[in-house]
Amino acid sequence: MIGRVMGLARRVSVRQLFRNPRAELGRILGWVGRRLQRVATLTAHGRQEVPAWLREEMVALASIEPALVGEHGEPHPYGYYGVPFLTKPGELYRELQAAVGARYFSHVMVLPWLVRGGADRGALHHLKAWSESMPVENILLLLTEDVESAWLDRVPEGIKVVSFGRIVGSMVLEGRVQLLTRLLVQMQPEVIHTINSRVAWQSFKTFGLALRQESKLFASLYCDDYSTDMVPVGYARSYLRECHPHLTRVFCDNTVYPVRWAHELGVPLDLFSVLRFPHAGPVREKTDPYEIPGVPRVLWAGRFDRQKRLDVLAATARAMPTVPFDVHGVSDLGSTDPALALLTSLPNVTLHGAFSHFESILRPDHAAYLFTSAWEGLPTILLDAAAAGVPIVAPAVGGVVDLIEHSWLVDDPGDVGAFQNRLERLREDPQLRRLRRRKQYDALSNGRSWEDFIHALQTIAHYLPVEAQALHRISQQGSTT
Amino acid sequence: MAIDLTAIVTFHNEGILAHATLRSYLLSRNRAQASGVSVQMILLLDYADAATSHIVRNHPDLDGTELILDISVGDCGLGRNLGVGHASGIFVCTLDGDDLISRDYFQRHVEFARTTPGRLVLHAEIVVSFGATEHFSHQVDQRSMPFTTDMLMTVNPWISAVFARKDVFETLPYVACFPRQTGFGFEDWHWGCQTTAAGYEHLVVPGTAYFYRVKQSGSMNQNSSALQAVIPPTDLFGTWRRS
Repeated sequence: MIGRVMGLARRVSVRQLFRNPRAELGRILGWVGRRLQRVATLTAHGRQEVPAWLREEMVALASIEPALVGEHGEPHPYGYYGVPFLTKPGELYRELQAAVGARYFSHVMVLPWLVRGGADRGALHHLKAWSESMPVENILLLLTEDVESAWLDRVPEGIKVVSFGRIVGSMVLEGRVQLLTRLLVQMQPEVIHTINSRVAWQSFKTFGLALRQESKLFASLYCDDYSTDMVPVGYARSYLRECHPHLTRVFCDNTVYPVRWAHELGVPLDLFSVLRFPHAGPVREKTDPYEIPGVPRVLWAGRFDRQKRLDVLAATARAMPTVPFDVHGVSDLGSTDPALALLTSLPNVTLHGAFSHFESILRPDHAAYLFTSAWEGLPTILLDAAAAGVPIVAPAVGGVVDLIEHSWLVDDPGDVGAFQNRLERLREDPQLRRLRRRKQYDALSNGRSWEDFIHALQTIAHYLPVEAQALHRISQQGSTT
Repeated sequence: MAIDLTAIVTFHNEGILAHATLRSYLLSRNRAQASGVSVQMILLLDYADAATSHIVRNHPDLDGTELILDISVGDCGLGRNLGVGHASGIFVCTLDGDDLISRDYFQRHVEFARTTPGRLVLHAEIVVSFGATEHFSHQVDQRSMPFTTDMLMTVNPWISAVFARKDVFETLPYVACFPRQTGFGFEDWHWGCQTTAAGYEHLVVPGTAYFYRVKQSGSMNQNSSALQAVIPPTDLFGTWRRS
């Protein structure tokens, strides 16, 4: 041991340590790492001598195969490799197998979790559509992350839910991918659909060719995320180029991002199906004159995170000091975020907590719903706002243009003046409020009913059972005769 | 009189390396026959290149009893199945076209199989990897070493050279993989899973060695590995039958 420490000391260059300490420290750590790796290998595999009978065989066969021995005829110093006795993945797989049960599932949805969020709403729409098109016993929902799923009670009754993430626990991604792949390869469902599961995306990327031998692979993608330098990131950027040959179809809720991904990544545009998300409940259209007797207020509701541009909300509220703002949401930013600090300090802003239904936070004196965001697919909260009959002021980002005509939207998501202008106009003009409300109702009635959603899915080859597709053809024939 | 063992060897494009391989296999055959164990050699030339084909067909150690077949299947598993179809032995063993075996490999396998009760698949006791790497390892013996079927989820504890009664290969033929086209591979790993699921015990034959030539690239198994293939569905990891 002392010898090894001395050996290490001899390798340290004091001059280099002063001149470039990071490089020298890196070199020393590299040396220590290599020593440790060697010790680890020896510990794992043991040190074994070549048995005498085997040495004899090598010598006897050396005239046939010179590569068995060294240049001077002596057997090589063969190292020993022990087959790893690795059983944990197999044990976990058996747990998964038991949790899934023996019944065959034709349709498997793979999600990271099911919590409050737009993508989760989308997943629930797909699960509902499946449950209306086949026996629910044919459907399996796998949740790949070990996270509490608050919306599990919204999964249609009878659908089997397996918490893959809870069973495999803290296993590294590679191991989780291996187990998920094995499970799906063994189960051979007709359809595998993932929405935002990193484990599933990685499985599609690495083993998609094998998976698609028996299953059709589907995915949903809604938009990119962006780094602080506004570099687009996310599953589309990380996985689409390598996964697209394996994918039967990718669903997107807006028309903007498929074009962008096809243009920027080179994936075929016909890989995508734009699937308009339905508005969940019935729309009770308001026909009142939308007069506001007191002071017209502004409503903001959403997640407090970087994407939602709280700085723009705060700046807009500060620019309109006489206008009351009701702000609903939960913070992901932390109390030190300057935008949140500013927002909290503004006397015209009332901060409320989380909300469960949009309708429950809407007051009759709300003249507008202000939606601020740096990037989006098509946020489902806009569907809620449109259905609730409150005029929307929003930026022209992502798929928002699919719901609201571009001329009304704010081109630059950071243009506080433009937001202020539209809010002022709405506060002052009941006729404009009625017009905006009407246009939003019209947009909702255009292809956003539940029936529209189901019909759209029925046109997607292989996605629903054959009987459901046939039903669609019959109903189409019926409507044309 | 019944033949004891059929050895099925698959060649592709081993070139001159096939010479050493055949010398080793035929030496083992001659020693087995001298001890009273009869061995049939089936040499499969699967899309073999001209050099390999020439070396196999003109090998100086051939005695004329070998069955040499030109086949065009391009898949290790299918090739072996085809060989089994021509096998006359009570036992069958599979070998690759660029490896070597210990001199009494055939004889010891047959004697061990005759004297050991059970439904068995046999393997060489030690695998020596030579060429691009130099190490040796003991293959897993289910009776004398720690073993659970859970191991097979992440590792194949046995190489592709296996030995069993011919009916085992007939009941559980290899599954064609074609990894480049299907993403499935490692037909030998899959076969190990299938036989384990069917209740066969995998044991090693003491005093036998398989010399596995590790090339920089090009072997069929390395193909599966490079293509990130996975083994096809196997009975060992559950079946969900479509109704």
